[in-house]
Amino acid sequence: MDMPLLTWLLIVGILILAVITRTIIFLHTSRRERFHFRPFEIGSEREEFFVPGDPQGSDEDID
Amino acid sequence: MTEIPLKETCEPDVRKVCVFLSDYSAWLLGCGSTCVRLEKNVTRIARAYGKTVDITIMPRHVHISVRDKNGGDFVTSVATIRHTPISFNINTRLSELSWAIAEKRISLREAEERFREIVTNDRQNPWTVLLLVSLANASFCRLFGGDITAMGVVFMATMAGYWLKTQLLSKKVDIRATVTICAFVSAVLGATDSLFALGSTPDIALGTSVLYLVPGIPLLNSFSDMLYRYYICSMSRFFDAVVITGCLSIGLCAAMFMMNAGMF
Repeated sequence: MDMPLLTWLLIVGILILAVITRTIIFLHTSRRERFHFRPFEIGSEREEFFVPGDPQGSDEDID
Repeated sequence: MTEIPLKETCEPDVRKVCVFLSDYSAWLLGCGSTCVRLEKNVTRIARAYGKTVDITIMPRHVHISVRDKNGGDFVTSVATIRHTPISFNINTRLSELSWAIAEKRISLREAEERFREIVTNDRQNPWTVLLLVSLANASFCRLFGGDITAMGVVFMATMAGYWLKTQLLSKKVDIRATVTICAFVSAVLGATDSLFALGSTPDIALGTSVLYLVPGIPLLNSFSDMLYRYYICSMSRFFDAVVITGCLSIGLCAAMFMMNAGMF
């Protein structure tokens, strides 16, 4: 299989998967009111470096 | 001409006016206003409350100094410009608020309530915006000579790319990374026309599939700021736009390379 077709299929496949995942999550959370159910999530920098006891006032990342 | 009296029994406190104007300025600049509009609106509001105001607009902050017209209290506030998506809806409604304060003479308390309502209830439906952006980009494709197949391809490429952009930005992914990824995805989808030999204008479909990412408003605002001699803001906005355009180009070139299209 040539590279352009493979790239195209990969992008389309990922997008379809993302749309389906978001739809399932939306339906799941709206039915059962589980607002914190997230199988995939891109976390903020603060979440990665958070140490218990740090102030929780702001979620702004430091540039 | 007789001036309508304020609904409040006395003129509002300088400190309260200064805080209100700081918030107002931070939001107005954040949602895509030009510097000249900000200065006019803020001066209009301050004058309605019997105050004079001096403004220093920096790329990421705005300084507001408010004083009584009789030379009494003097308060200065520094506000960080809000990082919000560009919204002409908020922009217009905040300008209307400044006119309401100046002409209908509403009180500071009522102005603050209306301000909170404007910035918290942006009435734009994201799905409507997604549809309109996709239609607009498909129309661009037609303007550049694309056929109906190319328009359809651009419509789908834009819809996918714009949806991805909203998802990534809602996750607070860096705007430069977001633009690069979205440009790549849209260009790959825009190459559908040439990949499957669907229509007669595949190059136009590929080229116009990323036009929705061009930072038109920052470029226009940069030009406006330059005309009105806000040179620091003008340069800042211009460089922001250049960086975004560079990211767009990287995504587009990567997609063209992968799809064996155009110059590669």
